[in-house]
Amino acid sequence: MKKLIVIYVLMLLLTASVALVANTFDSKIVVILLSAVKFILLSYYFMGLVNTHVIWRVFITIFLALFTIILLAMRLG
Amino acid sequence: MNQQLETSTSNYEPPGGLLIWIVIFLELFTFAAALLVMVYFGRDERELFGQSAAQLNKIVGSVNTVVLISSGFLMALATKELKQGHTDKTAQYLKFTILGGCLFVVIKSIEYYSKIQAGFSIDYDTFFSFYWMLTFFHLLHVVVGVVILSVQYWKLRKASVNPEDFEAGAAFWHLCDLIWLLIFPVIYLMF
Repeated sequence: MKKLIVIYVLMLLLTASVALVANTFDSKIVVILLSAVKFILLSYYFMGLVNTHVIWRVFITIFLALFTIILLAMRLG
Repeated sequence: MNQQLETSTSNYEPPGGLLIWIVIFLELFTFAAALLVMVYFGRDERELFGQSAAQLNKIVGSVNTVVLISSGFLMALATKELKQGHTDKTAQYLKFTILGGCLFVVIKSIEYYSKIQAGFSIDYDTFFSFYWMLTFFHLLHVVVGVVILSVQYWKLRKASVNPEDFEAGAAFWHLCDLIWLLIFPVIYLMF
């Protein structure tokens, strides 16, 4: 319960940070990376992947890493 | 040794069962591919995408992100309470999860109405074609999710809920959050 509340507060702070960074510094890279952290927190803790076999965490992390890398490469390229 | 083997195989199945996770990965790959195609088109029409993205309300997008994350948090609490056998608390959390989903649909509908009023329809330009297709497809998922959770709430009240079905419904609801976490930064903040 406590861990979920901490993760929830962290995700709200990350959401506020993403909005702030996008409006103030206009840094697309930071926006993408902060959103990726939120994605990991949600899938690991809210969806309960942290308590399952490592293969599921590997799958979701590889998916996100590929998406983020391709997105960054297209954005920077 | 046997006990160790039991532990390692018992958590092999993901929450909600294998089938819903196949759906989750297919959906994530579909949305990710569509978003990457959008970014690819955006490279050719950088100025147009920038001007069109500026027409979107980032505050409304951020509020919707908070609504979905809060709803996901309540769903996680509901699943935790169900595992502990507290059906009343589960029903309470589930009710607020459903309300969060409905709030998302209302906010999104208001946003859609303002876009239509301003003339930014699906055929306005390439950016808005992607905007409408991706966000509307996601909205359909949220509506389906609300229906699934409402059925679970009804079953919970009738004491006929199946824990694995409930977890599968929860996983689908979190899928809506995950897709939004891909859509929001790309469509609202990147261009």
